[in-house]
Amino acid sequence: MNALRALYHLVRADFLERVRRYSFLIVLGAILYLGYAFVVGQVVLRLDRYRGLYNSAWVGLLAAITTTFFLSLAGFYIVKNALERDQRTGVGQIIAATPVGKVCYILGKALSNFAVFAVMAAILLLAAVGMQFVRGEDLQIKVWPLVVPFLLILLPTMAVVSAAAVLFETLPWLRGGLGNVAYFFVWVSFITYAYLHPSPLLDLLGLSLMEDAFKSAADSMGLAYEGGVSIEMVEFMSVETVRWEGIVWTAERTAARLYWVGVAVALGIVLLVIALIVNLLLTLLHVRRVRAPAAA
Amino acid sequence: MRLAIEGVSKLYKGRVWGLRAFSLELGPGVLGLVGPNGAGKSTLMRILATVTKPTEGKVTWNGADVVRSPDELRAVLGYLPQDFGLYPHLNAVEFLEYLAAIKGMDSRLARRRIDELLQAFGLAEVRKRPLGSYSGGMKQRVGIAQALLNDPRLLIVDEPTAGLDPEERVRFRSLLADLAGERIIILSTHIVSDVEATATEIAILNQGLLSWHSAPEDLLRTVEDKTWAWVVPSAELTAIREQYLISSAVSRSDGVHVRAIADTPPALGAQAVLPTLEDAYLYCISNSRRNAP
Repeated sequence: MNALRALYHLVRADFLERVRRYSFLIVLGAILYLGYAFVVGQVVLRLDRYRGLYNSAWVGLLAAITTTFFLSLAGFYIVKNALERDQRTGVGQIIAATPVGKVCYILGKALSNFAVFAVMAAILLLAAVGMQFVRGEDLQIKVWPLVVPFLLILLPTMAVVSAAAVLFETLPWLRGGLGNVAYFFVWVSFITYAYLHPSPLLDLLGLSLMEDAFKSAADSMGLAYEGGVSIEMVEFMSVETVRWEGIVWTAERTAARLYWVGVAVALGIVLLVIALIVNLLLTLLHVRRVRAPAAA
Repeated sequence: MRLAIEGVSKLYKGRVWGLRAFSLELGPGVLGLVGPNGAGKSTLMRILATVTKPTEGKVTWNGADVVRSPDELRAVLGYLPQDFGLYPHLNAVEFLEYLAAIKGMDSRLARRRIDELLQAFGLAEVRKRPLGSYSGGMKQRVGIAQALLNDPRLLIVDEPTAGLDPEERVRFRSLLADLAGERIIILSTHIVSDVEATATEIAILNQGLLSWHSAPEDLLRTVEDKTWAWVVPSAELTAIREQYLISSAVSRSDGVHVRAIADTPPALGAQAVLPTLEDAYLYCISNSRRNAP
């Protein structure tokens, strides 16, 4: 069978089924609102006592960082129903009787999760252009500085969330409410630990990378930036606006973000190994059962 | 083309046997698998469709164990589960394209087959409507269409007429008759009339055990000269039900027209009538209950 064609249709069907639901529009609305709240100043992203001028680089970064933060938690719950839906609707029984392999099926579900996030990102990106005009601090649209934070900050994190959601659904004890609670605590613990022990290997949300990049820019601009990133609903201190052209994507920084794509792939491999081991054990058990009466 | 089921059993949680030591060998033709609700029909169907693994015994397709190498069977299988579902936000074409792809069908062939099936099942007009807006009967027709997509050599349909109106039911029966030939069709149902017109073999399952397997004529022979019809006052019906195995009772202006299976005439004026498959089925089920340990 043509595995790529099967994979494409698995992703397509699952993706279309999700994005045509009202719940998808509600989530999309919430993300757009969050992005809007940042841009109009209802929520402030602050780098110590500085913030960027609302140019394409800052708007893109702002929208990508905000969405990464929001979707790395809420997104998990949004997409963690791909396998469960097949079970609940009964479509799973039909799929189970086809030659499509477990590897293709699980990969298809993870890619479908990712496709849902990618569409959200694309819509948010379009909205970001509008937001830059709404803010009106810099009306020149620069495509690459606007797009690159979505590509290298948001999407790698979403790849991890996509794989994690399928992994949780595959493991029976993490499939239900326990898994939902566990993810929440893992997320909070991980983000807190990563904040207290900054390292590219723990920087799932890209905040340390942003901080590091701004520090380099601040040094060259002669700003007294000591570090720190905060997201605030209330403006605690007056901030100074600086024109920042965004993160300079050095090979090291790009690799630090692509590392998370590697983490997603690793999670996928763990997932497939689990699926294959379970299948092998069940088959061996069956073979032993079949042989036992014959040997007796 | 051979499907062999050898001593297959299925044990569920709570030590409940869904199926016990079921054996059968099938070649091309239509097997009508009948039995009361909970008899183990769907369990057997799921095992044959490689969705569930048996606890004991084995199933082979042309000699290959379907648990160890399920893909050989899956490549030629069409399966309509009893409680199947659809993606409500996809339309019929999208859903069938999806299933055709995971069944390994080539895209051009799939498109042609989808068009044919939608036409054949009267769904061409609504092909672009979301499946969630379909009636129960329309959903069932989509289910049957997906089972036929790959022109299967082994077609397993579990309660396929559930939700269909009488006209659709007749249409489905004649479709099955048309499909019969160089393929194995297993039609599971608790409605005996569904298999009457099409089955070349009949198997009766009761409480997880195979109670009967033969050609329909052989099953009918078991109630030859044992099927009676007569008219009784409605007040006597309860007593008669306790005494005889009643296959039908219809109230008319002159009383209740009763049809029963018994070795000797159950009443004065009872007339021997030609047995139907339903009479024979009830007789078989009643015997297997009586003989159950």
